[in-house]
Amino acid sequence: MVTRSRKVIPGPAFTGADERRDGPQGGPHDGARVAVVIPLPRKDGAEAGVVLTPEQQRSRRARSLAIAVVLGALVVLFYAVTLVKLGPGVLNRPL
Amino acid sequence: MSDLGIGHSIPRGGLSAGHAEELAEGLATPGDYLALMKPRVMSLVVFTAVVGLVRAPGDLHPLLAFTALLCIATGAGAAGALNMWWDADIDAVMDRTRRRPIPAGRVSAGEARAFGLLLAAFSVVTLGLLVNLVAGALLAFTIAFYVGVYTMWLKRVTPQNIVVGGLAGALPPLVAWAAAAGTVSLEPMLMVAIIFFWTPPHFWSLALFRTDDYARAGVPMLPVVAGPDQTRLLILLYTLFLVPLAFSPAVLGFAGPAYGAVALACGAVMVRLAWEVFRQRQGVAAVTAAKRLFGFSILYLFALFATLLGEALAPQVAEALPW
Repeated sequence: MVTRSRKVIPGPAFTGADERRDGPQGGPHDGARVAVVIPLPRKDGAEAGVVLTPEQQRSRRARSLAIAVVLGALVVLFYAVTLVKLGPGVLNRPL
Repeated sequence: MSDLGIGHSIPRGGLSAGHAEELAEGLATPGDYLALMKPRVMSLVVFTAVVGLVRAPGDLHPLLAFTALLCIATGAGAAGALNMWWDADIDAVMDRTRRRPIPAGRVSAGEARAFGLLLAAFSVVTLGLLVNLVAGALLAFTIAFYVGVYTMWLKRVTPQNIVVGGLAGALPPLVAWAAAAGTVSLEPMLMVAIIFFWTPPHFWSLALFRTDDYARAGVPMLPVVAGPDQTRLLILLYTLFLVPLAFSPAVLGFAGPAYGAVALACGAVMVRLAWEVFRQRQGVAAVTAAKRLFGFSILYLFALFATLLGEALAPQVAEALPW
């Protein structure tokens, strides 16, 4: 089940409507108006911003871990391929 | 543009980035991004690329061979993601595809486009720089052909979409061969030709029992436009051309007797199943015949390429054995 995320702003905010209604017919967005919440700074200094649901936090953590693993693997791959392509020449350079 | 007029009020490019984001922003998992890469298609691409890599002359370092396969797989995934971005409107109305990440609202169209473009650039540049420029250029052509020619142009315009577009799915063994040999020759071209002529009977047999799905989405697949009987005839004709073509590597000396035997035996089954599809035109028997041909066509291509792989590896395995 898809949990709908909402930007929860604990302060004054302007709520408008996105009029781009050219989505696919029969699709999940058909006929719905998209709410756009624009946060404004609070005078009392309370924290304002996007509040993620627990499910969104789990998804974000999983994505971050996946990106970290892929980047790490690429570093190792490029390092190893560099050694393979240079061969013994990697140690043979003028000082 | 197609003259079918179905679904043409839908903007090309699928959903605009802002729509899906508002529904399920931040819920995409790594699995959703993997799904964007069409892993089942990717596995077939990698398998045929391995065969091209192993059979090619030259002595490519195993790490560079792995890098080449990684780039080819990533390039295929990039093409899949860009295809899902462009076809999100079609996917949303087809039973087979409506649970994909974009129509399900887990990934926005803009995210899928960025993901696909990033992977495409990475795979082409990496293959070109780390392996060789010929392979990199061929991979770039393959991705551009699949996305630009098949997905963006032919798919919605002509019932010959999968015939011409099938070239993109057929090219991976050629890319892999170029990665190992630095050039191309007749043998990998034959591999490309086999996959190219295998594609129409494979996809049209699927389209025969998914006709309503394609019609609802406005995709002019052959059964939708020309009718099931014309499709059955063309399936049979393409199969009759494919089977001797698939046998030709044995005749031309590119493959051994094992390949010849497999190509003959499996080819005979393909012709029989295609004949059944042509003969059975009504009711459950017609659907069953189409499903059997679709299922066996996958096994047929796998058997051909697995035998090519086995014949190439057998001498090396025998040499490595201690007795």
